[in-house]
Amino acid sequence: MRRTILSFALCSIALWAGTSMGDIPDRGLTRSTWIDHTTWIDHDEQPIAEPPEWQSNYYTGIFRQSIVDPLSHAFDIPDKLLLIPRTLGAKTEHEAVNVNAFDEVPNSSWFTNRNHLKAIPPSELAKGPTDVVLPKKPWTIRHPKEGGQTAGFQIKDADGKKWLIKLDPAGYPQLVSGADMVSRTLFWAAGYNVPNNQPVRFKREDLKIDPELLKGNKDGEQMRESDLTAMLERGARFPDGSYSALASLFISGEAMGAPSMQKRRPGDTNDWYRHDYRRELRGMYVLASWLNSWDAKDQNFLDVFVPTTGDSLGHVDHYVLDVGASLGAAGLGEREPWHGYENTIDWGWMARRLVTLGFAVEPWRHAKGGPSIPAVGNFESAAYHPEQFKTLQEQPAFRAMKDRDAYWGAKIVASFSRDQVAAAIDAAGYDDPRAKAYLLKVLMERREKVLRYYFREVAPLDFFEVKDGKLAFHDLAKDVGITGAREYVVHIDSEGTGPDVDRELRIKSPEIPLDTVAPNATRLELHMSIAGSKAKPVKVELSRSAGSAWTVTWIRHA
Amino acid sequence: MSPKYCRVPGYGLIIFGLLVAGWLGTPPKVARASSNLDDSTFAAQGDSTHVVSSTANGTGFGDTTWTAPDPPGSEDPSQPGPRVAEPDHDPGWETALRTPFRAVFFPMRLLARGMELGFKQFGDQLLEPKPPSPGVKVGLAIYAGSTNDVALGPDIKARDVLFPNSRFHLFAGWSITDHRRVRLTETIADRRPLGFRLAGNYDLKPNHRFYGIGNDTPENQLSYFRLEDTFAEAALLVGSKPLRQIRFVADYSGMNAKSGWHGTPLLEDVLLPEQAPGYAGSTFDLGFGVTGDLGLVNNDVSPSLGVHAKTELRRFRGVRDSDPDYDQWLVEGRGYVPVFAHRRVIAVKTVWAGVKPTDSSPEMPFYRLARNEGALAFEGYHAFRYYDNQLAIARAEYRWQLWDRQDWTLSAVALYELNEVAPFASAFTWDKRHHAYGGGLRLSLTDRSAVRLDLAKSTEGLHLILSMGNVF
Repeated sequence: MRRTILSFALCSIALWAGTSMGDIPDRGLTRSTWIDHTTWIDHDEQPIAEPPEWQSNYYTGIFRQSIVDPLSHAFDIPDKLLLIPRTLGAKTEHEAVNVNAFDEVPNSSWFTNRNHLKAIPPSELAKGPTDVVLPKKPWTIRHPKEGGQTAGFQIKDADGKKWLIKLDPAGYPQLVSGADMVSRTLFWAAGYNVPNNQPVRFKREDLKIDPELLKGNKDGEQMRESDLTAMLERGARFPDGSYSALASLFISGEAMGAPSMQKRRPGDTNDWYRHDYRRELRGMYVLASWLNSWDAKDQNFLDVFVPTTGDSLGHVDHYVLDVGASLGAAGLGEREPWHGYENTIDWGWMARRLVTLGFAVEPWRHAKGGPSIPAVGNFESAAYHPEQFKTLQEQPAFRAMKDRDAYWGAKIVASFSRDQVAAAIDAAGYDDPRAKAYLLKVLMERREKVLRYYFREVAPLDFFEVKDGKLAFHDLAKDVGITGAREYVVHIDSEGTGPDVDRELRIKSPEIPLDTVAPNATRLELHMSIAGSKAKPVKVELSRSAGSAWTVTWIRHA
Repeated sequence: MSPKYCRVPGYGLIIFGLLVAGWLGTPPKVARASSNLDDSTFAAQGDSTHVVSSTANGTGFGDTTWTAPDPPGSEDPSQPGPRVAEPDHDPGWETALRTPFRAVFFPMRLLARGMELGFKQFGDQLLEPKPPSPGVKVGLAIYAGSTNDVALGPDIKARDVLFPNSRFHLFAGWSITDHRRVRLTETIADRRPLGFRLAGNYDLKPNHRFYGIGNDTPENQLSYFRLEDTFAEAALLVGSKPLRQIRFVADYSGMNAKSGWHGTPLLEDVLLPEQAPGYAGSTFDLGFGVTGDLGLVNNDVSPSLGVHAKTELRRFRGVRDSDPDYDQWLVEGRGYVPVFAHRRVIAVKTVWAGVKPTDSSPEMPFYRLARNEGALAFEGYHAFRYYDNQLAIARAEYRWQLWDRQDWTLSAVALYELNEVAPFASAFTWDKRHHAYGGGLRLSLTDRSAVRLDLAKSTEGLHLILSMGNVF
C-alpha cells in the first residue's frame, strides 16, 4: 500500500512539473501570417476559396450534447487526474485562445467590439446593424419555412428582397417577434453579427403564393391556399385582424450552414481556433443568461461565405441568427417554466430527484412568471441566479467558460445602461404598454444580479491607462453603482535599474502613482484586488524604456 | 497477504476515489449554486432597478457617453494583418496523458458515434413524429422476448387502406431459438364511439417453461415443452377512449403442447403425466364474452390521481367433446394517489384472474390454466413460473418523476408485490403468498403507451422484466 501511494505521489508531481513547464515547443506556423498578441484586430477574413457546405446535424447534436458528452465528462479520467496538479497551482485548463494582451477579444469575423468600449447612443442602438428596412408589400411566398417550431415562410417582397417571415404563436402577438428584436438588438450592441430583423404586421391580402410553389416546385415543395390558411391559423393576430410576425432579411452571401460551437469549420483556413476556445462564444453564456436565451444551439447560428474578390474568393462571417427563444418566449407560446433552469436531459437534476425520492424542489417551481402579458410570456427575475442558467443542451463553449471569460461577458452586460435597454425594448414596438415597463424592470433586475455575482468572482478593475505618471483604472462595480467607494490592494513587483521593489499598497482611489512607487523601475507587475474581497485579482504589467512613459503591456483578470 | 495483492485494489481504489471526487468536485461552472447576494462588499444604492453611473471623471462605464481609453480603430479584418494567437492545439503533455485513455475507450467512442449516426437518421421520427399518414408502410421490426429470444421480421402497417379510419398491423418474426410468431390486428373506426377490431395471433415456442401446477412447485422442477397457440378474436368496441370502453368479443383458441427443443430438461423427463394434464395433445375452443375498462384518472398514460377498473369475462366451449369447457375471467383494479404533488404518486394494483371448468368439462389441460405472464407477470419471478386455476396479485408502488419533457415522463419506481396461485378462491392464504420487492424505471410516451424496466428480488433471486404497451 505504501508503494502504491508513493508511486501515485510521484506520478502527480511529474504531472504537475510537466504542466508547469508548458507546451512542447511549437513546430512553427505554416500559414503566411504573423502573430501579434497586442492586436485589436484578428485578421481572419483573408480571401480563401469557399469551404464546402457543412453544418452540424440537429439530432446528432441533441444526442451528443445530452447523452454522450455528459457521460464522457463524468468518466474523463485524465480530467480527474489533473485535479491534483491543478490544486497545487499548475495551469492545466484551456484558457480562451483568441484573447489579446489586454484581456479583450479582438475584432474578427465573429465579433466586433462595440458598446463596452464605446457606448452606442440609444437611438443608434434601437436601429441595429443597418437602417430600419421593412419588407415592402405585397409579399410573394416562395418557400415554406423549414425547421423550428414557429410557422412561417420565405418571401420575396415588392422590392425583390428575400425575407423569412416567422409568425408569432396564436394568442401571443409580439411574443416571439418582440423577444427576438430585444435580444437581437442587445446581441448586436454587445458585438455579435446579427441579421436585419424587424417586427411586422400583415394581412392575408398582402400575401400571394408563387405559382411555382402552388403547383409544386422543383424542390418538391407545394403550398396551396388551404395550406396557407392552415398555417396562418397558427399565427397570432392583432385586434384589427392583422398577423404579428418577425421579418428577417436574408443575409447576403452564400449560407454555409450552422457552425459547430465546438469544432472548427472544415475547409475554412481562416478558422484557426476551436470554437469552444473562443472567448466571444464562452462569454456569450453571461449574455444568454441575462436575456434567458435558453435555446442557444448550433442551429441558431449561421456561417455565411461572403465573396470579396472578383475571382470568387472570400471569407466566412459568423452570425447569431435566431434569438426568438429568449426572455419569456418559446416557439409555441410562453416558455416552459424549466426553460433556462434545466437542460432537456439534466442528469444532475435527475440524480437529485432520484436520491431525494422526488422531494427535491427545483428553483423554477418557485419562479412566478409575472403578470399575464401575452407579449411578454413567462419572464421573471426573482428566482433568477445568473450562474445557474442552462440552455436546452449544454453547449461546449459554455461548459468551457472560465472565470475570466465570464467576467468579460459580465462586463458587456454591465455596459448597457437603463436607457439603452429601454431603447432595445422600444425596437420591438410593443403595443401593450405593460410589456415595455415590465420587461425593462425585469431586465434591469436580472442585470444587477449578473453584475453582483460575476463582479464578486473577479475583481472588476479594468480600462487601465497611464496618465501623468499614474496608472488610472475603472472599478466597474462602482461605475455602475452596485458598490460605493472602496479600497484596493496592489501588490507591486518591479524590475529596473534600481533595487527591485516588492511591496503592497492600499489605495482608496482608482489611481496608482507609478513614479512614486517604483521610480527606477522599467518593468512593473501589479496584482490588484479589492480589499476584504475574495474576488480573483487582476494582473497588470507595464514597461517603459529609459526616458519614456509607462505603457500597459499586459492585463489578465483572474 | 503479501503487498503484491494490495497493489491492484490500491490503484483501483485511488482511481475510483478520484473519479468520484472529480465528479462531485468539478460540476460544470454553469451549475454552481449561488451564494448569498448580501455581501458586505457591495452596498445597494437606492432603487435596485435604477443603476447610478458616475465616477470622479464624470463619464463612467455604463453611461451612454462612455468611451474606453484608447478604443481600437476600425481596421478591416479582411486586410492582411496579424492574428492574435497561434492556431490552438493540445499541449504535448496532455496528448501524452489522454492517448492511452483514448485507446482504451475507443470501442465506446465508436459505439457512441454509431448511435449518433443512428439518431441522425431516425431522430426526427423520434422527437418530432408526424401524424400517421394513409397508406402502407413496410419495415423490419425486432422483437425481444428475453435475452436469447430475439426475433427479426417484417412489420407492415397500413392506415385507411381497406376501410376508412382503419389501422392494420402485421408482424411476423422468427427468433434465434426457433420461436415463431405472427401477429395481426385490423381496427376499424378506432377512437370512434363504435368500432370493430379483428386480431389474430400465431405463436410457436419450442422452449416454453413449466414447473408444474401449484403455488409450491419447486424451482428445480423446471422443464421445457413446445407450445403452439393460435388465437383469433373479433371485437365490437363501444366507446371511443380505450380507458372508457366496453368490448364484446368472440374468440377462437387452438393450443397444443408437445415435446420441445432448445431447452433441457424436457417436460416428459421431469414430470409425470398427471402433473401436466393435456400434454402431447391439442384443444380447440370457441369463446365469447365481454371486456371493459373504466378509468377515471387525470392522465391516461401517467396517472397520478384516480381509479381504473378492468374486467375480462369469457366463456369457452370446446369444439370437440374432448376439448374443455370453461369460464375465464380477469378483474383488475388500479388506484393512484399523489403525495403532496402530482410528480410523486402512490399506485396500487390488485388482480384476480382464473379459469373455472364447467362440471361436465373434460380435464383442463395445464397450458390453459392461469399463469404469470404478460399483464399477469409476477415481479421477481420467471414468466410461466406458476400455473393454477386462479391467480392473484397485489402490488404497491411509489413513483416519482425524474424527467418530464414534451409529454414524455420518466419516473423511478419502488415496488412491493404479493402474488399467489391457487386451485380455488378459498385456497388463497396469507402464509403461502410469494413476495418481491424492487424498483425500476417507467417511461410514458405520447402515443398513450409506456415502457417499464423493473428489477425485483424474490426468494428466487433477482429478475429483470421489460414490458411495453398498456403497462401499469
